[in-house]
Amino acid sequence: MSWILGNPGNRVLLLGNEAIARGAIEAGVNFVIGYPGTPSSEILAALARVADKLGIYVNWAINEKVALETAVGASLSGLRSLVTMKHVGVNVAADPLMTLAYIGVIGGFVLISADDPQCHTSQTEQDNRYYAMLAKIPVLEPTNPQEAKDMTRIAFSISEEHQIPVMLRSTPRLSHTFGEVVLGEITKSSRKPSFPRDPDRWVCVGPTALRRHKILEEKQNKIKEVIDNLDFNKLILNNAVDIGIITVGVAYNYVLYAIDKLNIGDKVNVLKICSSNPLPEKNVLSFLKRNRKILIVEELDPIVEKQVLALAKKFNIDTEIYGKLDGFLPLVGELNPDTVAIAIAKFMNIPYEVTEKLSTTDFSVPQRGLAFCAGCPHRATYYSLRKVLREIKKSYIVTGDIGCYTIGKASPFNILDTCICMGASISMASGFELSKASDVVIAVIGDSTFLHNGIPPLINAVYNNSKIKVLILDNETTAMTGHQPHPGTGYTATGAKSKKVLIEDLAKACGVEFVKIVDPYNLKETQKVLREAIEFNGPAVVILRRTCALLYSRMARAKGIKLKKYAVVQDKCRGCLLCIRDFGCPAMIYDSSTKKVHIDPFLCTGCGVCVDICPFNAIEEVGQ
Amino acid sequence: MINEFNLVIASVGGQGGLTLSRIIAEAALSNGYSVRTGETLGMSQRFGSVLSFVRFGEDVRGPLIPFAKADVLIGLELLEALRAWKFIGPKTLVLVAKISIPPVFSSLSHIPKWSSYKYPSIDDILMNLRKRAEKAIDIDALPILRKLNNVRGLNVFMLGIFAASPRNPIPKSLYEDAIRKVIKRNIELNIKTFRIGYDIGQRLEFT
Repeated sequence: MSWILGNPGNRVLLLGNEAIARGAIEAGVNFVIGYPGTPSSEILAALARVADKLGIYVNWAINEKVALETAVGASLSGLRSLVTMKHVGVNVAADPLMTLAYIGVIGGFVLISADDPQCHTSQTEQDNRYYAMLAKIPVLEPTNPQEAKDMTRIAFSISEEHQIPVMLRSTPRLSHTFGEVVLGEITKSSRKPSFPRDPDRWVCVGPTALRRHKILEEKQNKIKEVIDNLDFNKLILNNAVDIGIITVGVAYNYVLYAIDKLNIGDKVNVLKICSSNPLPEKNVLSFLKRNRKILIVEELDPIVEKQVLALAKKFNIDTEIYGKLDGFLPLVGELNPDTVAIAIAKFMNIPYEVTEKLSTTDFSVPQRGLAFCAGCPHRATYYSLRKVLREIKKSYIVTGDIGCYTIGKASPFNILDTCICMGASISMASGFELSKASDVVIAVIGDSTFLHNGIPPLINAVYNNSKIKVLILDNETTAMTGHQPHPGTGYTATGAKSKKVLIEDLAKACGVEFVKIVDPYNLKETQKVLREAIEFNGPAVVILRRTCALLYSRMARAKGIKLKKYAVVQDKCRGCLLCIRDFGCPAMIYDSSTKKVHIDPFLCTGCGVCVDICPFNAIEEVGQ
Repeated sequence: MINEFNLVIASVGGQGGLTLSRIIAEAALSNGYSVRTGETLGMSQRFGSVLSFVRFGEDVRGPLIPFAKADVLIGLELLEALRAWKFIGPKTLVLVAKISIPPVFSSLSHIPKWSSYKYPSIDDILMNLRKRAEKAIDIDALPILRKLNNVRGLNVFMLGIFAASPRNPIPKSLYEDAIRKVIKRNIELNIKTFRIGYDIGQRLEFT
């Protein structure tokens, strides 16, 4: 994995996120911290692998707010600091970000916001460039892995020179794209940390805050000039032509594709800019003056578009401006080569054929849907929870949270009623419970998510005397984003040992009197404890602890431990299909000719839970 | 030098589709091409649909492939190959492993409530692929892989088939270098599996 340490001049294949990591290394980054979140996670993971070699600090934080604040400490000590998170993570980190813009930074400070147009793996497709505008900090928007590397590098210089945090905005089509990257020189950093004590700057309240706001405003024009002069702004001109396209970031790729496919290379001018805040105003103004009409192509919200409209108005330019506000491009979902080609064809009044037949099929393709992996402990947990909830004959609400266990919304469990953001399962459950919306309110949250933002809501539930039942599904990792460690695992991002923070101790310290730990593979015990928790007159926490099956099988393989295997005794199987309909394990295969189920030995990870589910005792262990 | 080559890989999570896209991308880079890969994943770590794109050529830009514009579709699973139909056009060569991994609830599809999970017949899938593509070839990969004791090597086996097709613009040796670079375990077995795929591919009629 050390290719991100390759020699200058080498042309290598890098994932967009690895390119960002390399850019940080080239800039001489000293301090890296973040919270996992798709599509950002590989940046920190790549740096963690080379941290010891480079002598830099790399670690996961408990959440994005804490990550950002920790990096502020490093930056104020003069260290170059990188903070990584997904777009919704910036919501969590927004509080310190706003003030950080006021006080400014010392060591270069770069915040990576990995946005998710199309909500591939997120609860919203919010456009985080608004955060750059809100905080009044520059945002750089790379088009490809090469630019991702180069812009990360330059972001550190801009940040340090102007003492302002800089945001770099990525999307899955950059973060999760491999592309060729020519490597640059690595800056060997030998910075000695030193904090310039200055309470009139760093204690940001009242008159100090107002003064710092003024300084922030004064920086804006200088930064605008810097952004205007960056080579990342690209102009493609056809002298006789007065029709133009302005684009930014990944959308530039689609614009070039469309121009090629529509064969209009000599009929249109293109301005590709590298930032929507600040807008490279000189570039945009001269482009506006040159063109009679302009189409603006950008991913997600019409942020550039609105600014260009304002600019045109301010300078009395009557260029026609089109984009998302008039429906040329969609406001919802990510762009792709076809949507952009359709918009440009319409803008240019030329035909473009996306074969109409393509939108309909004469066959149906069954969805794979969301499924837990074979052996996933969450499956066992939800099986027990559903069984208990059906038995108690009381009304109930189950609030969910962000993680693999959100799949509990899908078949066969269909058990989650809500999921909005990290930690909200517990606070929303309190809201439902205090409103008396149902007899029982259950909150379901994972270990990493509980540590991330579940502790204050749990204290609040105790304080508000809300008798919620909190199920902490502890698979001892941050599974969905790729098995990153967290404080409950006792390991750091680089694999070093650290103090293991126990979730049960935290729950007790929050004031919860009912705290029990069960193994979800043990269905009987789990169901007993769930019933006790529901009957308990007060807030209760049940920790369902069992290592993620994927992580466990990987560890077992590495250590040469054989997994248990199970099989269906064919004579005993009556084909009731309960193991599929109520449990949904992908290793269970139904043979329609024999009308019996068998277990695929390649998929089975040996959890053995199905043994207790089969009403005919047809499933047995068959050795390894 | 080719201007632009668009390859789609359709697979089920855990089959090695992403690794395959990475291998091809590395080989294309070694061959002097500009390269982009992209992916569309479900939220499931395992058993979800995985669509990967590999684009290479003199000057390729973004990772996404326009509808109906795939030069080649490699399917590691039949239903997933069909799911990628939007990328198949009249000039697409489809190479699909004759492997079915039914979604979990396909087993229940005889019950009306679950009927939407019904796994289509293999003949139907192949017929629909053939209807759209210039040519669709199904390869009975499992018996060969079982004999090699390398069922996990499906991805490199199918790469071998593709490498032998006249559409492939990259020298075979570069794929072998890329396999050595990307795959961590059982390298020699996977090289062997790739070569067997290549030998079988040489006997196929691609046009």
